[in-house]
This record gives sequence, structure tokens and C-alpha cells, in this order.
Amino acid sequence: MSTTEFTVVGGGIAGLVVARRLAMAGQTVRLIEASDHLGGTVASHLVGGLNLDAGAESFATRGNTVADLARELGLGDDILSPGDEGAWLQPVDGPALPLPATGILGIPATPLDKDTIAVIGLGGAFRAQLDSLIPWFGKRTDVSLGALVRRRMGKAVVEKLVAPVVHGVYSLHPNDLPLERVATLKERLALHGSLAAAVRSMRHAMPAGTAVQGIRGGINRLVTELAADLTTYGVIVEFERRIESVEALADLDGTVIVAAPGILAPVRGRTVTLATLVLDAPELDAEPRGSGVLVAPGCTKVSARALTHATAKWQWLKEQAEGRHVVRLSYNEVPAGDFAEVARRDAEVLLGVSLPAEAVVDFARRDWTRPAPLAPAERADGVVVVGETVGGTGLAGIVTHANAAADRLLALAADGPAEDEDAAAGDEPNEAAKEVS
Amino acid sequence: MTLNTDHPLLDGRTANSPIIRAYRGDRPETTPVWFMRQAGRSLPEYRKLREGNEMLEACLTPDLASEITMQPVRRHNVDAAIFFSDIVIPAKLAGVEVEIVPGRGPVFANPVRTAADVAKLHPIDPAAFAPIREAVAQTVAQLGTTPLIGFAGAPFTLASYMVEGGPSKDQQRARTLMYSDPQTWATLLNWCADIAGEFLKAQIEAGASAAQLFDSWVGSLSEQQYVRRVAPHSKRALSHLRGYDVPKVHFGVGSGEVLQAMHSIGADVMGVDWRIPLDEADRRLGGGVPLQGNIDPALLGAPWHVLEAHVRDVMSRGRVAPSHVVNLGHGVGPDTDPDVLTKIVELVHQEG
Repeated sequence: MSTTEFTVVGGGIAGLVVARRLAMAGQTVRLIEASDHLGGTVASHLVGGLNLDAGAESFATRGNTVADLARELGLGDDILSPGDEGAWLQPVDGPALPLPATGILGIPATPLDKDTIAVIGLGGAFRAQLDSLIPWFGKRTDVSLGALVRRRMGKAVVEKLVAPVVHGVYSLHPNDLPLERVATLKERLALHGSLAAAVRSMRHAMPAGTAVQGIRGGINRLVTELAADLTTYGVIVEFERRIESVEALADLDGTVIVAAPGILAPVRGRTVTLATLVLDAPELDAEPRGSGVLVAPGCTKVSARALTHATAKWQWLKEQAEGRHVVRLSYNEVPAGDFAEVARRDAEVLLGVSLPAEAVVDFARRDWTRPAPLAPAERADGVVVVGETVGGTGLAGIVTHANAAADRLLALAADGPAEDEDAAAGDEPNEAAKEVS
Repeated sequence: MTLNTDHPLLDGRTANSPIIRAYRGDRPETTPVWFMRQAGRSLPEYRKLREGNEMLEACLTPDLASEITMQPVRRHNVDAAIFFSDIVIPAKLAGVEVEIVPGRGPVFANPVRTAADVAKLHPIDPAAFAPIREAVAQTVAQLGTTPLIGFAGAPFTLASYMVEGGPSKDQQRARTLMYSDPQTWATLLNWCADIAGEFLKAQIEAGASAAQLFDSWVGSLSEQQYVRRVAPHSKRALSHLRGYDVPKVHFGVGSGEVLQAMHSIGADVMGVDWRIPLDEADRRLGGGVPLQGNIDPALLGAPWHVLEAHVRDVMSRGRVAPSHVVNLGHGVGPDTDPDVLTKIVELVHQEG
């Protein structure tokens, strides 16, 4: 057969997308994967007899990138939106409260509504209402989201509403989140003059439907289909071969695409640990916390940062679970002791129901490394990179970036150099935020 | 790779024959005609020759296969010979246990339904095609200026037999596997594509002047299923002929919904079954594609004046396309009166 024209290093979603597109265009492609399976953080595991997503469990609808991919892969009829139960908030003190449904990143659209008052108190709500009276001059551009919200709506909104949500989405405190990273907020603030009005207009501009979607049977079906396509289009897949360094790339055939972290630079990043519980707990039938709970930073009642009541969020899973419940908790740090027991107790606190040990049908733990973005200095000249280190967090960003990279490679293969710019990569809600969004 | 200079297409024997010209989109003065399954069961001389010979053994005995291929050419004066063989021959040559059960069709001793089953399939050794090459060479030596058409079963049809274990009503097990284990499906279809592709290649290299890929069961698929789970593999089968400038015909039964998709895998000519008229097929293909077909085999038993009117209608609709090769919309049935076929050839040639 013909010689390898492209070698893709890494069989996560980005590597699979690039390899598939190149092979479909008739190129000879080899894919090298360090583990014995494809998919990376899009993975599945069997818990309590249920086949569940072990990593990513939804995707951002932004740009329709992932939905388009799913449709191409024949999964179009199985794209589903989560239920509209809404999420809850676990404050530092006191019981969990419903997250005001109309806000953006916790910033209330109507500070005086009862859900907002329940979280920040009447005093806090009146302070937040001052936002409508404070003029917006828009002079400063380097301000953080936290500083902006504090000035206009007060400290209670920042700490009790915005901080838990922003932490869930960006793993940052609002004080560390530059305003520019919140798409269009600054522009809308300039236009409407108040933060609440800006939030209302952002809400209004959102497309109908939810910000995230899932796939019946789990996001991991994307990997099954992508892998089948690689077979169909003759991609040679080599498992259990680890490429450790930039130097090792030189031994590979054809144009090399780096689709794995840890090659151009050592993996830096944080570890997210997911605990999955399959529960026999009829008390959860009432879905006491909607789709799940976000935990305010500083809350010491639990170690988890977020909880998803997966069988409440996904109707297909509820049907599949046949009366049992699936709950997923995410941790930035794993506390000492019996992790299954920690997760059970956290679930009990966050869901507000008693979950005795015998209610736990099964438990699973998965640790995921979320690599930090590659610094510009770490980019080797002429090496094409795709994946989370360059495509932003989240499937939508990664797939968009990988598609663009494949298009550029194909254009280059067809008729010489094309533009050498990365596709606009955006942040999107990360794992913890998706847990409840 | 290119064809040998003594290949019939290159040494002047078949390149200007009416059927090869028609396959290349150059309408000849007289419309060419041949019949799918013209060799075999409908002919008394075939039944006599086959006595005491098992079907697949006959296919692998060069003298027999060659003689059976020649019989209808002598009898009907058709414009091409179709190589006498069976779509399961490459599977058998690759070591798969299969036999043709009279009255039923191909039966596989061990249906292929799991990844482990597929893993047991071995790639074919091109040397295994020696009897095929020999039979083709013998046939081509006798045919002179009449081209031989080589053929293979498309991966989907072949795989369907292998998954089902034999003929089935609607290929449901096969279509389930497509979804229950897409990767195993893809691996199986790649295997089928490679053995079918090598089978075609052996026939072309030994002297066949055209190739036809048969996807008999394609009518059980939706367009979406075909495009996503089948077409890439059919393309892969044809890719084994890369470098050989031979016309490639693609035919399926019930192909109305997937006609364009079947053409787009790299076929030069589309075979059309009897379900849609040729002018409609031409429209669905966007014009410009040479067509082959599509006499309804059911009418072979009708009174001659009915059949004659039908053949004239087929020919008249076929004039919409750049060129047309008359054929049936499916194979000749075992009970067909061979004289009817001879009369059709006379009519087509006389109509011009």
C-alpha cells in the first residue's frame, strides 16, 4: 500500500476528528495511541450494569459543531437536550437553594425575584438593584468580572451567586476572571447601561433550547462511530505506543499532527476526579435538586465541587436505569479516606436525602487530567497541534479547532501553503459546570 | 500499474467493440446487449455440462468455467460474455467454508457475527486466484473481439450472506450489526472489499475488458445507511483496479434511492433494475452517465408482442442517456426460455 501521508499522535476526540477527515479525503493516515483504547476523555464505563459516560457527558451547542459531527456519524436522531429542571446552589452555610434560573454566570437578571432574595437576602437584593441606578462609563477595560459585579451589585451577589457558578465554569474566582472572557457582556453593558439589563439581553439573544446537549446512550457513542469510520476509511491505528518528546516526532512518517498533551511540553494542569454512584433510592424520584448542585467555594460541608443528578438531567438514562438513580460528583481534590464513602456522604448532603450504604448499588472513580493551555513558546515550529491544549476546554472548541486544522492540512496537501492561524478557540463550560448546566 | 500490452483492450481486440464504446459514453451505431446470468442455469447445454459437478467446483475448474461462459455467446450472439462464477468464490478462496445449496443459494457453515468471527478471516493470497486467471485467459482466447466482463459481489451483499449465514429476506442481522458494532461491521466490509477487489483485479489482469460490481441486496438500505456504512467499502473494492483503465459498471437491485451514491464511488456506468425507467434513472443521476438495463425479467415469460413493446420502450428511454447497453433489470431466471433471449438480441441489434 501507499506510504503514510499523515501520522496523528493521540487518539482522543481531536486526533480522531483529524484522522477521520484526512482519511475521508483520501489521504493515507496512521494514528498512534498510547493507551489500548480510543477516545481520551470521552470514555465509557460500566457502573451498576449501566453503560455510562466516564468523562465528558454533554457538549456545548454553540456553533452546532458537535451536533453536526454527531449527525455526520449517523447519531442525528439521538441528539437530546437535558431536562429543564434547573440547578441548585449549595452555599457556604445553610441548605441548598435553587439557582435563579434567569441569570448568566450567577449574575441575576432581576435582583428582586424571590429565588435571588433566598440566596443573597433582602438586603443583598436591594443592594444589587442599585445596579439599575449606577451609570456605566465603560472606561476601564482591564477589570475582572468579580470587581465589576461587586461595584454594581454588591459583595453578596459576587460571593454567593457568581462565585459558585464561575468556579464551576472556569475553575476561577470571579476576581480572577477577565471581563473579556465573558462573551459580549461588556458590549451589552455599554449598550444597556446596567448589568441586569445586559444579562437579560444576553439571555434573550441565546438560541432557543439548552446550552448543552447529549446523545442517547452517552457521548461516548461519538468515539464508537469515529473509530468505525477510521476502520472504514483505512486508517491504521497503533495502540500502546507512547511518543514522549518532540525529538521522537521526527521518526514518524509524513506530516505529523500532535493530538496529545505531554509531547511538546510536560503535562501541566489540574486533576478532576469524578465519582459515580448508582443508587437504589426512591427518595430521589422527586428529583429534589433538579439536574444537580453547584457548590460555593469555601463551603466545607462537602468536598465535592458539583453534583449532577444524571437520571434527572437525562431522560434516556432515567429510562435505562429502570428506577435506579445515577449521581455524579466532581472533585478538584480528593479527600483522604474511603472515597466511595466520602462521595456517598457528599451526595447525601447535597441532595438533602438520606442515602444509607445499602442504597449504593455501585460506585466508580475516574481521574482526569485537564491539561493547561500550551504556552506560545512551547509550540514547535511547523508542528500541527490539536486538542485541549490549543482548542480550549470542551468538545465544541476542540472539534471546531480540529476541523479547521484538518481543512488547513488538506488545503496544504492540495495546493501549497494556506493560512497558518489557529481557529478561534473559546472557553466553554468545563466539566464541573456541565455537571449542572 | 497498467494493463499488459497483450490485453484485449490494448491490442485492438475489444477497445472499439460496441459495448466498450457504450461503457465509455460513446454511443455505437448498434445498441449492445447482454444479460446478467446469461451463462448458466437457463441453458440446457449448461445443465448437461454441470451434471455431477458441484456449482462452486465448476467455477474453479477452468475448462468448465470457460465453456459455460462461452455458451450464451455462441447461442444468443450477445455483445459481451460475463464470466461464469459466483460472488462467494473469493470468500471460498480465502478459506471460508461456503457452498451453494441448490434451490437456496450460498450457505456459510459459520456465520460471521462478532469481532472474534471477523478476526478469524484471513486476507486472501492473490495466488489463490490461479484457476480464475486460467479460466479467464482460456475464455478471452476464444472470444476474439467480443469483450469479457469480469464481476464481483459488492462488500455489502457479500457481507450480508456471511452475517446471515445464507440468503435472507431483508438482511436484518447484517443491518443490525451495522449499528450494534459499527467497527466490526467496517472491518468485515473492508475484508469483503479487499477479496472482491482482488477477484476483480485477477479477472481484469487475465483479460476481462470491463468490470461489474453487483450489490444485489442494496435495496434493503436507506440512502443514509448506504452512504455511511457501505459506499466507502464499495469504493475500496473498486480501488483495487486503480491504474487499470477499464470501464466499471455498478449494479444493484432496488437501487432507486441510492443510484447517485452508487455512481459516486467511482463507477463509470450505472446498471439500473426494472423499478425505475431509464429516463428517470438518467434524471436522478443528473445526466451524462452511460446506463445499462433494464428489461423487467418478469416479462421474459409474457407474450412476445408485450415483451417486444417493453424492449422498445426500454431502448427509447435509454436514448436519453449518453449511451445505453441493453440488459435485464436483474438476472435471467432458471425457467427462462433461452430462445426469448435470442429474440431480444435480434430485436435490439435490428433496432440499432
